[in-house]
Amino acid sequence: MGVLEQVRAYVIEDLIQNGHEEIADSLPLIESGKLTSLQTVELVMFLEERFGVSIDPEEVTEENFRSLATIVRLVESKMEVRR
Amino acid sequence: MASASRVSVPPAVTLPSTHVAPSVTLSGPAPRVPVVRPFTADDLGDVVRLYSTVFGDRAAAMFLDRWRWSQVENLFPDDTPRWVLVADTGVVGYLGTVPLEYRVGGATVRAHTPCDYMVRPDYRFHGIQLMRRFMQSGRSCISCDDMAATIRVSEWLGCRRVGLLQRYVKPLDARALDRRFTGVPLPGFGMWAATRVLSCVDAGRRALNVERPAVEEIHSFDSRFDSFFRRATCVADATVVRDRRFLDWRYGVRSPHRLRKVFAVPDAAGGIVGYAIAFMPLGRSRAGQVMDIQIEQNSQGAGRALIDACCRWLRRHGAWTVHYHQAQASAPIPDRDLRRAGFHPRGGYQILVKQGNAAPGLNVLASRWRMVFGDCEASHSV
Repeated sequence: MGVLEQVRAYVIEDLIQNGHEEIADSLPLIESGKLTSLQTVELVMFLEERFGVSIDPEEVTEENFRSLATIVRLVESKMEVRR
Repeated sequence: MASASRVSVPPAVTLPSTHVAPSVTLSGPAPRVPVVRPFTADDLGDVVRLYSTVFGDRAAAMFLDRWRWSQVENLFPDDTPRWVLVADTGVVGYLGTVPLEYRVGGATVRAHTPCDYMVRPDYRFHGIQLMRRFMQSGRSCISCDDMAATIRVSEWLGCRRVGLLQRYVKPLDARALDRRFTGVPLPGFGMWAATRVLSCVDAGRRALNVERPAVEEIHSFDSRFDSFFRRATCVADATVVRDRRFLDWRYGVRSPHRLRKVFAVPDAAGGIVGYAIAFMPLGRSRAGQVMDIQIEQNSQGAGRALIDACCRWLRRHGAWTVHYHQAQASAPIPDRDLRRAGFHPRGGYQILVKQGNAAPGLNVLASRWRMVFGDCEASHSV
């Protein structure tokens, strides 16, 4: 399962806790109210543990966490740097 | 980070006649990204209105009363930073702090506890900016939290766990047991009988306390407390600076905890060997609190007598349960004495600490902490 699908699964099953919900890649997670600040921190911890990257508090911005697509872009850029 | 200047409380802050109930989600797209800036006196009205929006009018009125005590009349009013989160629509978030001094490894350090952290529901994502600003301010931070998500956020921002503030609960009235354990209403007579049994068991316990030192009620924190604090040997490495000034602020006439009672055990020389502070919330809560107990070493009989006195007073004032918290690393009352007195351990708060720039030589993380419920911000709004 790729990065996008792993992140989508975590957001649906662990954060939103609604296995029946569909979340499009570009759905605005913050504007739609699906992502609170507490959930974002939990998501950051998941990303760091699952993908072995480090995300600074300064990088937790609306721009980076706007949608699944932007989150994955952030993670993959860090994975690329690590390689 | 600039500290907020001393703020005068306006003579009257009118709560909004209309407000959005907390359960209503404000609709519409969020405006541009909100920013954090230091609180100013002009923000107080907006902050109170925000509190009303998030928690309701009654809570907002209590917040204003508490705000005066914790933010304007605290021990270090010129070092009480506060911040607001501001969007195009106005103030959408707030974070206050409470400054106190702590003795750590023999040295004195000032640390701040975040308080009254709130964000308008439609800006929940941005609320963390407030906490991040505080954590970046270079100040030492001490807090107690029991919510896993909040603890995770604090740790992510640099706090570390240094101990558990263990909660103990003692039932006084069978109605508390009924709700918690059975969910089924007992017949009225059964409830009365069970409560009488609890009371008789307590009386039996008191009879077994063979030392049974006398306990007196205290009406002011007089000079005997100075002598007590000089003598009382504290085995903990880290604790709030506990003196008359602290007690006067925390539990004196200006404290929001109005229905409280201070007990002390006198010694033969006219001093005291220990004291305790009981508090009964006004309103519908039936959870009485023992906010603080401190005793001289080797005065365990005094500790038991003080706990008993608090429980009796709280029972007379309608408490169904008594709650008492103490840090496990350096506990004023041994666990076995609390259990013998009818208290049961029930969870607690994580003590979280972040070492600030002003105390580079102190190892607050390795110190054994002495703490009771009244020492932490969690107790301010009970």
